[in-house]
Amino acid sequence: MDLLEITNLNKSYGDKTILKNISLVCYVGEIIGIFGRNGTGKSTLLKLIFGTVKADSILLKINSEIISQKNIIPSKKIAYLPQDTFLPKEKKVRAIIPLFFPNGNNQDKIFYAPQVSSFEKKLIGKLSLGQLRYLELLIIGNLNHPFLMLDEPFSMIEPIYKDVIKTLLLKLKESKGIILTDHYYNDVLEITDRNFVIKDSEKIKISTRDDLVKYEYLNLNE
Amino acid sequence: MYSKAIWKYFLDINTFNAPFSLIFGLIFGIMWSVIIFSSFGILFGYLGFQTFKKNEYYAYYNLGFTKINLIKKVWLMNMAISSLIFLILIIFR
Repeated sequence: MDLLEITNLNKSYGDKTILKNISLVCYVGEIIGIFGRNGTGKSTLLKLIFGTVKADSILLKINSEIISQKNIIPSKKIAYLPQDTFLPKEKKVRAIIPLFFPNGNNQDKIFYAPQVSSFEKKLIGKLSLGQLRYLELLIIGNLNHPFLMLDEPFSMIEPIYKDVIKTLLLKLKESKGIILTDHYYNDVLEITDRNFVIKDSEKIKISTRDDLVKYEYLNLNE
Repeated sequence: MYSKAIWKYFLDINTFNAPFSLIFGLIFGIMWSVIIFSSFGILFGYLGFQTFKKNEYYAYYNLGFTKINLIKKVWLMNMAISSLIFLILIIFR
């Protein structure tokens, strides 16, 4: 079973410490949720793991093999879903899929996935937020990377696609390890196996929704 | 592998680069246009992509390509095109 280990992760911007001595382990077969108020470093954490933001220090291992930050992208072990879409708005859905999957059989996995036939002829720029997020998740989820970093997969999407995305993530979990962050905590808690909150630059394990209140991510009356 | 994705990046970079190189050529001559297309024009194309399509880099990152990787490929392709045009210009002059 593939294992992603992150230790001694530190990141500061000038005098401001964003993340302090963070350690995290993610196995294939689990979904980990990361919560935190805006600006606490959730997205930065995912970008540090993906290698697009330089860490002050980080030790990253996949199956006990050390991978330097600059080699994470070429290694194709970790895929990343950014907050804003990475798909070109001027292209049609059916033209985009072959860019990521040169092989016809792999293309079919996307074309024949639930819901896709209803929007495959549309331009990326004309998709609803739910359709777009679902398509992006289908694409990166069907690449061979064993680990996925998802930055706000539920943000602003219509309820019908929330359920489609949850089903997809639970299916992907069978063959991948997933770390995700989102403010839609009910949706996240529904599918995650373990959860953490980032507070004062540190990672704190949480077990229940009440812990989100305890660590001041939520107010008591939310 | 991923030749369609690379081709798209090549076209996107040269969408900014080609008009820039042509303008240069109109002012200083066709030879300069060819030289700029495979040198400074790529930097101009990179800046254009960075400004208008920055988030699309994540698509390439997910396919295993770094920015340097992509730029190198575009540079090699543009060098090949420029060399060919250069040769044609020399032969038919």
